Amino acid sequence: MKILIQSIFYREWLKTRFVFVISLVVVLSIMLYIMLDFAQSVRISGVTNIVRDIIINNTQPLITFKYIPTLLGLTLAICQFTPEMVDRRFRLTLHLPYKEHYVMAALLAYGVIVLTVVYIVGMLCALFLAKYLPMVVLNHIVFAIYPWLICGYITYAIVVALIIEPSWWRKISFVPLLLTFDFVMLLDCQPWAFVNSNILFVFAVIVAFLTPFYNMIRFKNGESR
Amino acid sequence: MRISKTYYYILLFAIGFCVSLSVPYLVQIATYTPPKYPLVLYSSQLKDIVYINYSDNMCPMTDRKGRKYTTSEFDSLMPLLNYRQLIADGRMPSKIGGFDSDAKMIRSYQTSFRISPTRKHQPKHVAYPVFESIPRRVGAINTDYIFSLDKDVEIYDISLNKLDKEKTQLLKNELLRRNFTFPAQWVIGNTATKKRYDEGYFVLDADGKLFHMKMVNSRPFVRDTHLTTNSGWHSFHPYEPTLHNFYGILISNDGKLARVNIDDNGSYYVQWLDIPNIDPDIDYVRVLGNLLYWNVTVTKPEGEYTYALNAWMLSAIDSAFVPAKESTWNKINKWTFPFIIRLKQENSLLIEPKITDINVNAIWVHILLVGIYAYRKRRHGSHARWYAIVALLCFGLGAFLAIAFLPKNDIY
Repeated sequence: MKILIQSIFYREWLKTRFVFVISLVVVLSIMLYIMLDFAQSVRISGVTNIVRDIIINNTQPLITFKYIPTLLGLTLAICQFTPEMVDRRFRLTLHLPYKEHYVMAALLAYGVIVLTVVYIVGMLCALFLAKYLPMVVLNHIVFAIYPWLICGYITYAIVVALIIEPSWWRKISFVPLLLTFDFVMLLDCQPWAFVNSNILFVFAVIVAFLTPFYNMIRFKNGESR
Repeated sequence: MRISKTYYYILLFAIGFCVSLSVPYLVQIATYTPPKYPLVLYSSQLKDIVYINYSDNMCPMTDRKGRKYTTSEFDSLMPLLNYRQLIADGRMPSKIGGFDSDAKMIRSYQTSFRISPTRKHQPKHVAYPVFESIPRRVGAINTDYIFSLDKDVEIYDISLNKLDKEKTQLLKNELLRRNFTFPAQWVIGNTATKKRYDEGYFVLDADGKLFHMKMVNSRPFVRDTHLTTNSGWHSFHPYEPTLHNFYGILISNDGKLARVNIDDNGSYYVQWLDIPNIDPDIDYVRVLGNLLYWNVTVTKPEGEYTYALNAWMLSAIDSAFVPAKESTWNKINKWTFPFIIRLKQENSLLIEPKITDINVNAIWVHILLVGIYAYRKRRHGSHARWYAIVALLCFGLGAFLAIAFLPKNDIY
C-alpha cells in the first residue's frame, strides 16, 4: 500500500507540478493584492473606520479570494484527470494490482493534499492582517472563509467525476449537483452565516467524494450509456 | 465489477435534493412580486385612519369611506406629517391637539424606526464599538475602542492594535459588581456614528437579566435595569431620539412590545404597546410616531396591521388591516410544490436549510410523476423500483430528472 501511494503520488506530481506552482503563484498574488489594498484603505480611511466596517457591517476583507479555491479545484481536476481520459488511459491505472477503490482514493487524496497545501499558504498570508486587526477580529474573518475552501474540494471531486464519466449524456446528471453546491457555498452572505448549517457541508462533501467512485466503477465496467 | 447500490441511492437522492432546491427558487424569482401596501396613518384632524399613496399626485389620501383628498387637503388634514409644507404655505394651524404648533417641537417628537426579525437571526457580532456617551465635542462619536462580550469581556484599542488591560479590568469589575452572569445571550445597541449621543448597549446575561452598559467620561457605566417579563426578553431595538425620552423597544418572547424609559430617579420602566402580540421571529414592525400618535404597523404574511396609539400612554385608539394580494407565485406554489426547501429565510441572515410552504394539495404532481415513471417502466418490460418511487414522492421533478439522467438501474 505504501508503494502504491508513493508511486501514484509521484506520477500525479509529475503530471501536475506546474499546476501546483501556478496555483501557489496565483494565491500569493491574490493575497499580495489584498495586503496592498487593505494597507491603502487603512492609510486613507484610518484603521478605526476599517475595523468598525468589519465588525458592524460584516465586510470581508478577503472577499477577492472568494472564487479562487473553486477555480483551483476545477483546474487541478482537469489537469490531473484529462490526460487519463485520452485514449482511456485511466484503464491502465485501474489495472494496477490493487483494489480500484484504493487507487481512486489515492488519486483523490493527492488532489486534496495539493489543494490543502495551497489553501494553507493562502491563509498564512492572511495573517499579515494581524498587523492592523486584533486577534479576535482576525480569527473572525480568516476562519469565515471555510465555505469557500470546502467549495474548492467539492468542485474538485465532482469535476473529477464529470471527467471520468464515460457517457457524455450522463455527465449532465452531475451538473446540477455541482452548480447547486457551488451556488450555496458561494452565496452572497455575511461571514459565519453558515454557522448553523455545518451538516450541509458534511452531506455535500460525502456526496461529492462518492461521485468519482461511482463513475470509476462505470468506467471500469465499460459502460457507455 | 458490480456497482454498489448504495452509491446509486445516495446520488439519486442527492441530485433530487439539489434540483428540488433549485427549481422552486427559480420559479419564485420569475413570478414573485412583493406585496405593496399604502401608508396607513392616523389623522389628528379627521380622528380616523387614512390611507396614503404617494404615487397618486392628484389625490394622495383616501379615508376609510373611500373619499379621496387632494394634495392641499392632505397637507391640512395631516399637519404633523406635512408641517414643513404648511409652514411654507402659511397654512399651519396655531395649535394641534392642544399643543402649540412649533416646528422645532414637532420635529423633535418625530419618531421613525423599523424592527426586523433579522436582528436576532444573524451571525453574532464578534465585537462592538465603544462610544463615549457624552462627547465633549458635538458630533464626536468616533472611537478607537471596541469590546467583545461573550464568555468574557475584552476591550481593544484599535489605534494601537492591542488589548487595553486597564479598561478591560475596569469593565469586568463593574459587570461582576452588578452581578452580571457570563456569557451574554445578546448585546444590542445603535452602532451608527452619525448621531448626537450614544446610549450604549443593552445586554441580556446568561440568567436573563437585562443590563444597560455604556462608557461615560471614559469610565464604564453598567446598570441592571431590573426589567423582567414572564416569558423572558427576545430582543431589543435601540432608538436614540433627540429628546432622550426613551431607549428603544423591547420585545418579549411571547411577542409583546414595550417602550423602555427612564424616570427622574434613574430607574428603568417599560410602557407596553397596546397592540396584539406579534411573532418576533417572523413579523416586521414599523413605528411612525409624532407629537400625538404612534402609528405601529405590523407586517405579517397575511397582510399589514396598523395600530394608532396615543404617543404618551401608548394606549390603542384605532386599527386597520390591509390584506396581502396573492401574487402569481402564491397561486403557482399552492398547486405545484408540496414543500419547498429554503436555505435563506426572509426573516433571517443565516443560511439554514428549512422545509417551508407545505401544500398537501400539490402532492398530485409527485404522484403523477410516479405514474409516468411506472408506465414507462412497464412499456420497457420492466417494473418500477421502490427507491425510485420513494425518491419521486419525496423530491418530485428533481428525482424524475435524476432517474432520467443517472445510468439505468436495470443492470443491477
